[in-house]
Amino acid sequence: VTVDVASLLGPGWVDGSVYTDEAIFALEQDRIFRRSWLYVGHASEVATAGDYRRRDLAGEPVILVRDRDEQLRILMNRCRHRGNLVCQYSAGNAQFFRCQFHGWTYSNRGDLVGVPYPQSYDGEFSRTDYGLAEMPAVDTYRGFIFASFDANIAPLAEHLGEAKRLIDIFVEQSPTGELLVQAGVQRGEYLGNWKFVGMDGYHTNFVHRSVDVLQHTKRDIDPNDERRAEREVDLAPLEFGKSPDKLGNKAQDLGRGHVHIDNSPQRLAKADATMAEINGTPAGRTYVIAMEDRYGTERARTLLCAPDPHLGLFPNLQIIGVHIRVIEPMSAGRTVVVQYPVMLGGVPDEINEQRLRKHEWFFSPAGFGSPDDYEMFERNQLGLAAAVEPKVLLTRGIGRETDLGNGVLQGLYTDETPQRGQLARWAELMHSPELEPAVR
Amino acid sequence: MTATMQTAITDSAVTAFLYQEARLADQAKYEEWFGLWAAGDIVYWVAPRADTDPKREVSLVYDNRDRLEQRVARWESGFAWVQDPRSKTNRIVGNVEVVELRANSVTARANVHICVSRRGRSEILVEHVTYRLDFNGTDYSIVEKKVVLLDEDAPVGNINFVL
Repeated sequence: VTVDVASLLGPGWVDGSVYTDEAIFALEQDRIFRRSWLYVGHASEVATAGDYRRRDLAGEPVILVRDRDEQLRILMNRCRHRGNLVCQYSAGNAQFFRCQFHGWTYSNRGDLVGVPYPQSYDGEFSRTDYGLAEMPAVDTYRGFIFASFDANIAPLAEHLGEAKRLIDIFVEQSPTGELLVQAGVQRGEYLGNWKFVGMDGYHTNFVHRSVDVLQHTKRDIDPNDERRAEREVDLAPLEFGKSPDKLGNKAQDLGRGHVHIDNSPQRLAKADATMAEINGTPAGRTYVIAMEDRYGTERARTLLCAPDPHLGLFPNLQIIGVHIRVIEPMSAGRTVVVQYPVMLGGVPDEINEQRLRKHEWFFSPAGFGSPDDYEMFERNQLGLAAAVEPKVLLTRGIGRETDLGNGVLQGLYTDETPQRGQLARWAELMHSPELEPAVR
Repeated sequence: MTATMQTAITDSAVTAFLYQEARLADQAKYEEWFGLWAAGDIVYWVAPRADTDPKREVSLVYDNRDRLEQRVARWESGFAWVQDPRSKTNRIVGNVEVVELRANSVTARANVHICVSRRGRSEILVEHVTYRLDFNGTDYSIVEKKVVLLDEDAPVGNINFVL
């Protein structure tokens, strides 16, 4: 299939077929998903030797495992004999993976350690030639495990760039720097393209109007609450009809397709109230003290009051609120979104419980926020089928961004800076006619 | 009245109550549906598995009274786009079993199949549901409703209605 990528987008616009065309989707699998660092999982998900989790990377089944030597490996879940699965369960602890078709058995390092009736293979056959295949490149940053099908890919640290600083903020919600991705998973899906999952400040007041309306009914604010006035002020920023740009939040293109909505200006503006609220319970007070001990008063305050990077790491990872979100494109018009709420090491149980309830409130597939986003993505997919005037407009705030000098381009909150950044990387990876299709 | 007769009456009354709940949910009469809940502390829980601790594992829904009230208000607000248009549902409540019977409360189990239709597509959600009901001598009210979907691994689509 020939796709002329250059004809599909320009400054501030993209052709709708980029979201709807299955031929483009197939090319994305080769040119983006087989040439990028893909998020696989978090080290805490395989905490002890033998722990494993099954995952899919660009549609290929893999096993994320901590082997008997404590080394993290990403093994292809495919027997080297005839290609049967060697691991059947979504998670567990195992010394061996065995193909039940003909009994070939592998250690959790991937070594082929058992072949039934080996005498029928000729003298050339050696078990050492038939260990489980592994992902060609694996690297981690602060417990986040990435892999690539491209053995020659640039180092992960280079790929993450400025995003590392934001991952740090997420990790340092814990006074011990430990994230525990052990609180289960939510799987949702929508009938729309994977690239709709981005970072968008413009949609908030419209798509999430129901949340805005609920907050303004103030039904949950006790009239005798001493801090009633303060809480009501807290609710004001989402007010429908006023541009949220004046709150000072920013939309950023971090380079390499990574994008960020920086909500910290708005959050830090009410840091005093936030600190008072966290300090208002014994568990919260314990948490604050632990954070101050570890990071110092100033940094702890920032971490506690502006804790929530809205970070998108191209192509398949987002970090939002308290959760890690993995994007699994199934077809041009269908996407699975997998969400892992993250618990913190070194904090009282109540703090982690609060994180779960907060996450479920907005982000659950049955929650008050994300489902309305997915509904918009589905309507978007349906609308794009009208292709008479095919251009999608992404010019909001174009040309007035601030270059922060570290490869970061910053726009106002409602600017389409993230969309342009994501698509620029998309085009860069897709428009590479000099490259052979990656070897499957 | 014999114990057997009493049990039969309870089974029948509980089943009728669960049918009523299902009907109000299918009709999207959310305020009336909320009226079936008990006045004090309540739990509306859509759990990932039967044996899980909501303090340690994420659920699809884990609502106390405040949050359930907000959920109903959101559905009624006209701004919950994921239900605009609404998912039409038709649910069959079956295999109702009273598993614990006390003077003022009942624990019951049921299997529920919800046929869902929206925007020209249909699907079936299959649930195991456990209810804890208060009984005041005349009426039942829901203290806890715990729902476990049959396929915990399958991604869920639009499930913004009563589960």
